[in-house]
Amino acid sequence: MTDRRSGPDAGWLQRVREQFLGPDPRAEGTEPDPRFSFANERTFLAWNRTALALIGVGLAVTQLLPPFDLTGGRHAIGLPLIGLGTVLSIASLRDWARNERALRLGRPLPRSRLGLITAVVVGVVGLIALVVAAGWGLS
Amino acid sequence: VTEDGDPEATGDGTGGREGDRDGAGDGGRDRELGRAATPRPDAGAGRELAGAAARTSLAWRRSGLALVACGFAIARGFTHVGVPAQPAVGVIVLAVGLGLWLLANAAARRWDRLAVGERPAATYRELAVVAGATGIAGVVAFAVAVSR
Repeated sequence: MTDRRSGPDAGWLQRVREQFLGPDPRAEGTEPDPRFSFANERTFLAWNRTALALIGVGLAVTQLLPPFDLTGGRHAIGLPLIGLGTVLSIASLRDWARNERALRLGRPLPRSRLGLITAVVVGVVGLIALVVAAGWGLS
Repeated sequence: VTEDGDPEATGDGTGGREGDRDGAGDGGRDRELGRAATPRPDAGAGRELAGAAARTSLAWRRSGLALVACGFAIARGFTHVGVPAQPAVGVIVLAVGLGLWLLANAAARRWDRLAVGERPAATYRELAVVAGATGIAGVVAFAVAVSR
């Protein structure tokens, strides 16, 4: 027999989700103007396409480029991009839920960290790419 | 990436009606003031809402196609440069993308028959499928990139 403390229909997936991503935003508040829901949804989809593009580019850099003079250069560029894409794919779902919750409760939208994270990682990768492409450091 | 769907963009769906102070802007201002957002758009905002729904539908289709392309690349591999094909993983990602695309098309047709304002936004679960597919692709890509 399984003990289900989180509610009659709370599966393990739902419990994991609530732990990391917060509760389903539809649990509280009132239905907002659908235009805001749609815009929130499109923002999520846009972040996920960005994530997919980052993953694709990272994979292409590590697998398709000829090796640089600098050992491990391709991985130094590609792996952070793939990691960023993976984080964004899930973090954007969390942002969507937080935004939807704020819309339903009539509160100000929470501040998103996704833009800052993306800017920092892409900036660092750019610097790494500069070093690798110039062939500095090693031969 | 900034998406094109600013909910407060002026759609001019009111046809120059006099005293149009109840347009899209009020929802945002109400939010700033801590009041509840406009529960239902008025008739003047109908065209704008239809545009928002159409943009959202297109965004779903685009996302589906992106996953299809990604899945195809994973399944096929780049054997000429030594990247092996991963048919099982690729087919899963491709199938999710194709499913999204088909569902988005079906949803768009269903939405067309609904009155503006009755169109349902996505549920948590639907978005979680997209995030999960992208996340799985990312983890697989990371594993492939580390191991080679």
